[in-house]
Amino acid sequence: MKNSKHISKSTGFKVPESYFEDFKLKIKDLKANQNQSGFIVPDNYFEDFKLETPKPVKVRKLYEVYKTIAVAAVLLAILGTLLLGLFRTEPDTSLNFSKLDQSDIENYLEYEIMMEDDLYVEDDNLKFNFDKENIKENTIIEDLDDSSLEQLMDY
Amino acid sequence: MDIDEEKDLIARLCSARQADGAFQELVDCYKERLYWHIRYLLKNHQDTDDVLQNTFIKIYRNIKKFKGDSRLYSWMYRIARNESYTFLKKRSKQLKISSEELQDHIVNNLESDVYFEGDEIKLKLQKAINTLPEKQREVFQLRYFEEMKYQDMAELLNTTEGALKSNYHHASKKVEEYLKSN
Repeated sequence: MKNSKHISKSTGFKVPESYFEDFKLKIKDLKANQNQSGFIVPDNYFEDFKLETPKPVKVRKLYEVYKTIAVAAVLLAILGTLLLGLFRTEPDTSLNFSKLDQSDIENYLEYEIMMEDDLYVEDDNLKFNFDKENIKENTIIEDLDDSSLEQLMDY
Repeated sequence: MDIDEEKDLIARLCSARQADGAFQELVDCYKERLYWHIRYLLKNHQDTDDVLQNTFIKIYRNIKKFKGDSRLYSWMYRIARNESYTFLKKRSKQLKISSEELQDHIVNNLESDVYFEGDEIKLKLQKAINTLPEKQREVFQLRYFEEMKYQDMAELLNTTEGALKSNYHHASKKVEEYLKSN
């Protein structure tokens, strides 16, 4: 470096005599400024300071979740179809009266066929004597009481 | 100060018991070099003294943040440089003038500065340097006045030697032209 202690000959810049010898940094003031708030920290706090970072959480994108669900649904559907195919037996379509239980036949007769008979009301009052000679015009009406007439009207 | 001495000094600066003694050692070792860096940028002694004080205060407060990515001197030089430019910006705001006008103002004040002992040619040289762009001005001063090697300059300014040589070449041409024409 060209500079002498107190003058730079190439530029003509000077410094006061013994400036560098007397140069002192105001370290005491610097420390005083640092502590003026009164706050202190434990010994070696900054040296030992460690940031406890949380463990990184794996973020799954929403469309990936949908994609997974869709793939799982398709696979389940395929699996279900295959399982049904494996365990499914052909239905016996041939008709055979020997396979019918007696009770089934009775039930059929009772509830399916006999239901037709419900149309017929058994009432002695409704029995007619079709012997024309015995029938008089007013006799029929007299023989029928009110309840019988109502029953007939319902049917 | 070689690298091993520098590492030892940094270790002592970070130690609570030895920090004050080590820092005084650092100040003694680097005060003059840093002073002249700042003085070439600011040109005025009193301003340089203020900025040098601020520079060392910043170094003292931030020495534990120094990671050793570069040489200690490079790191301190960058602090000094930033402090100098911050000072110039503040001054131009105070005076409500542009940075170019401030440079003219500083150079014009040199004639009456008791800490400037230059003849006419030295004053003219300062005026010529003043016409350079900021980057070229800095490179020219480091090379011409401090005779710094390009390699060291590259580390200080975080650039390539080729770029620095180019900057210095253009700066020299401009200074030469200014001196011839004025």
